[in-house]
Amino acid sequence: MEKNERALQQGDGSSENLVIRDQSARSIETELSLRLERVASAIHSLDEAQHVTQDNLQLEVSV
Amino acid sequence: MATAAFRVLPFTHAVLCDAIANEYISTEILATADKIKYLSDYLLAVNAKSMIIELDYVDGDYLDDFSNYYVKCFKSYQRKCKRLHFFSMDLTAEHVSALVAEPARGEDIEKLQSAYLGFLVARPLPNAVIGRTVLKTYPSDSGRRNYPCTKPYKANLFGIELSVNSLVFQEQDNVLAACATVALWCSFHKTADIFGTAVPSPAQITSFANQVVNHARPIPSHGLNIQQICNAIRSVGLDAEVIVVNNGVPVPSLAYAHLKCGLPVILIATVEGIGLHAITLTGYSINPAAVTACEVDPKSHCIPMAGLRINEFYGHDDQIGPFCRVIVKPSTASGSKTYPVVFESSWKDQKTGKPLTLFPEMIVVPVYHKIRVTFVDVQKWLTKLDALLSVFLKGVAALEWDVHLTTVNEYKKHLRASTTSHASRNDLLLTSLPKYMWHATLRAGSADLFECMVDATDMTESAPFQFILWHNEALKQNFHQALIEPTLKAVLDATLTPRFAEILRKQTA
Repeated sequence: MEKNERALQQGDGSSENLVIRDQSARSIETELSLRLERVASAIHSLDEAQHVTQDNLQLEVSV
Repeated sequence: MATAAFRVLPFTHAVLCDAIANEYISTEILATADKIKYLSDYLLAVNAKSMIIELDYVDGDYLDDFSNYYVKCFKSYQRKCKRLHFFSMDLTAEHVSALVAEPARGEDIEKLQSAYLGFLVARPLPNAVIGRTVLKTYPSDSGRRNYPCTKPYKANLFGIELSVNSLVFQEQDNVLAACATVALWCSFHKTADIFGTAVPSPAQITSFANQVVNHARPIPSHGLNIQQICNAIRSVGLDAEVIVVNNGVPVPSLAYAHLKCGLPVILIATVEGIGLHAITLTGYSINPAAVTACEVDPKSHCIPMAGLRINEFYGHDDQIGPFCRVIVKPSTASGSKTYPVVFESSWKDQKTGKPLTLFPEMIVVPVYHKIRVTFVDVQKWLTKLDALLSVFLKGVAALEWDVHLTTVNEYKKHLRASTTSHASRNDLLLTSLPKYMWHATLRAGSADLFECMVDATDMTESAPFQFILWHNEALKQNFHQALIEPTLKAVLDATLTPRFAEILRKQTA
């Protein structure tokens, strides 16, 4: 994996020691493959949050 | 000293109780009531020193409740209230009489205005004596405390016009308005300010809520279910955005995303051992750095968002008081359910005095019908995008997505005020944009890296990214190289979706 670390000048002119990593296609593929499952899981969780059931609608807010 | 129309008194807890007391509820009982204690503490914290009591005050909201219920009781309830005005300066009856009598006292009126802390309507009832209440918020504490859901309220005191920025509050009465009704009523005051929609009285809200779904008699009101809350929101011409809280929903960031543009958020939470309760969130405390590592169940994945910097919200809780602290606590399991975060406020166990936990169950936000793409929709797209961006930002500390709803006018105001020299600035100012947009910015510490605007009026399936601004050229180049790399097409399509990958390719070209 090729890794170049560079200190960059920010768009707003302020200097930050921010490191942007150049990555080879191979390492990007590996990294993304590793992330795929947790991205899918997070999105599934968010899909469920948007699914309002009849049971949800009947919840009584009465305190 | 007193006149027939008003009294002027120094502010103390005992004096407040005495001023609120009526023929049905004594000063002694009020002195031990948690709600009155909360109000006293709040007013002392904002430096209340004196109060003027309007002794014969006609309150429109109470009058509506009165005509709907109390006038039809056998007992003769009074139709007029008292209104208590609070000031952070010492006042005497002579001083107030002089202000009323002499028209040209500009400097004194200015002093009175700058010391004005708001008002409380004391209703002549056996319970729920705290009627319409409008109180000044706590100071911002160097920008930490934010109250975007406030608006200017005017109070005319014997011809002297006073104003205060706040959001109206009242206690629930369990006759015409239970907690959900009051939470809606508070919210509608602010949505009227934003969208120009109606502000029905609590009695009207309860009536609207029961027009479609009516399981039991609507009045006396013992509560509303979620369907009825949605009906009430629809009755004022808005749509109800309902989010079911599960372990992967970042509740603090979700609330922040709406609150920042002034939209009140109704938190439906189970109060430990008691039941479901509604609180209108009106503000938040945001810190310079993250105060927690996680705003969801640690077993779930969530992109780092501004909610990590929020340690508490400020909510109108009709069982506690206005702008009460709703403190964010870490993810907790209860029974079979794991909550992303839980909350603590002034709810306490009556026997032990131990704070009770509030478990968030649902979030309801009254929104304009053209705001169709939701925070959760945007979060899903950003989760995909973040998967690729974070490859190039591995090891960068303090990464944060700031996501919030905005309007084209607010965004252009923000652009004009910004010192950025971004080449697109002037083009954007001159470009026609959607009325409602989600503004998402990826930051590393104080440095903006990436910014995008999502058209909230479009449809989420179309990946409605209106435009993207890159604030870091190296990040943009790395990102673009990855997007056009043929060997990555399959994994990029799987991560981003083919359509989104294509949009990003064009936006980074």
